[in-house]
Amino acid sequence: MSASQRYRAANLALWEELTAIHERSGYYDVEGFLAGAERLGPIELAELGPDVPGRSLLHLQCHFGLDTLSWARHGATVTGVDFSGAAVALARRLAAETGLPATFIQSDLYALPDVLGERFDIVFTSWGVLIWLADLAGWARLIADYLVPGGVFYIAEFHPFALTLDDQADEPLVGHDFYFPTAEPHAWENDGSGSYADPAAHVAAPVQYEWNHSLGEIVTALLAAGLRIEYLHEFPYMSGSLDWPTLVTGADSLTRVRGHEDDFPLSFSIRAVRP
Amino acid sequence: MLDDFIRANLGLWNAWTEVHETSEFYDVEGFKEGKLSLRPIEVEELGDVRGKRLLHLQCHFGLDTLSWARLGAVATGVDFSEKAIALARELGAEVDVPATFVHSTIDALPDALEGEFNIVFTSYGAIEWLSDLDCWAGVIDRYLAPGGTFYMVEIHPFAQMLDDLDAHPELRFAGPYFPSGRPQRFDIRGSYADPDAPVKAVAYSWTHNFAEIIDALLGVGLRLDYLHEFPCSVAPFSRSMKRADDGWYYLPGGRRDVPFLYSIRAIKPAP
Repeated sequence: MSASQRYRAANLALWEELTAIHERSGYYDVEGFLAGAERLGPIELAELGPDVPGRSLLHLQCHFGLDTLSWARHGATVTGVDFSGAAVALARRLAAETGLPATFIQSDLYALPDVLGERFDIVFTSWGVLIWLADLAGWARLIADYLVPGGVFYIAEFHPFALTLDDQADEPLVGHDFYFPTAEPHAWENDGSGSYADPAAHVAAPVQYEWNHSLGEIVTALLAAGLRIEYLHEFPYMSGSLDWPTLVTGADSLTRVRGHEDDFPLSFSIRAVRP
Repeated sequence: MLDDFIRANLGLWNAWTEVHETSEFYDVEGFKEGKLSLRPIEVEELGDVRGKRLLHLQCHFGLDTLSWARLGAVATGVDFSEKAIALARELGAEVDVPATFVHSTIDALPDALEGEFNIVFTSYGAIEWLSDLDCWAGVIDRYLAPGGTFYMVEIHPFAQMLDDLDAHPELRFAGPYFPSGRPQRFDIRGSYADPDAPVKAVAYSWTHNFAEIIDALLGVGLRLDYLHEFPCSVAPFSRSMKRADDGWYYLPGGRRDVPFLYSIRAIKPAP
């Protein structure tokens, strides 16, 4: 097995396992979703929401499809893609249960052109996707290829500055080697800390591999693929919660850095257009 | 109020000009002997400037402006410090390199300078002295010829956010990152070029995050080519940062995983 096959197999085993854990988690609140609760975060809702009704939307790295189906509720014709068979099976089940029209495809991101040929008005991806990708130049080219001329790419993601934070420290310290892209990914051994969605869950997958991507790398990859960036926005908060001592989640369900509630960038969004 | 901030900063830069002229950091003697003051990042990324009309914004006392002229550019430098501009003109005459120097703030430049340029350049600690990046981007757009290139290499906002590195060698965020509309006040002792220089002043600088910088440039219609980032610094952020053999400053232990510089290239589309 090549190194890249080993990384893929380890991460796939993790995500196959996480799907069942996440289905039951309060974090994902599947019951609430089935009852009609909004699962999209305020950033993507405000920034992409107005574009969505009546448009075709491709959701990359969609996990088990809650956000994909949420965009369907907002009037998009949606297609979700994930590399986990368990996640795609659950996504299809939730689509059937809610009666929302959606297509879900199980595929590695980079192999998607082998199984999906159409083009879309919108390509969407969000929250915790980039660390799983080894090759951002290839990712950006794939996005450009899936957009119709004039189509919109939109991403809302954790800020690369945020991902440098030491996840054990109780003040905002910079960890080592978490900003610039490196040739090899970080290998995280399973330390028994469960899942971000359920820290108490038992996770068996022994290791996961994550890649650094700096803000410059992300922006430059999209530009090099021929996309025209309309904006880069940055926010001192992010959706959801993370079990890091330096982060604090407010009553608004947004997470900020303790003591730097208004001045540390925790997330960013980019909107880009295919000319 | 803004005028008060600018007046304070002008006092600082006039004082810095005097101590920088004789500083090892700026190495004016070496420049007179023919050395270029430019760094490898901008020389490699901006490429061949021969015959190009180049406008250098916030040029201090013009070493880089004159270095671009030595590389063949038809160079114009602009600075708000009259002492810096006087020294720049003096150095240009002494080394016999043709260049034009204009004494002006960025916002007032359209009243002081005519013409269009193939390249607008700015570098290393410039935009933190500007309160209004939309105005700055408008001036860049005003001077770029269609098809012309804007290029900047600047101090990375990530590095700007770090707490005093001598007091916190573990790298601690202090902030702020987001612009607040009001400047931060600094009590300056010495200079980045010479920490022991006899300078004592109050100065005001403005925080600009990536979103603001990029949106200012996009807002005037420039098309971005890239955002690059570098783990080296042009000046020490602390006494513990040492100059390496390559001329850049690095964190203690040679740590190269923190961004200290970035560069942006953007093109003004031809109509």
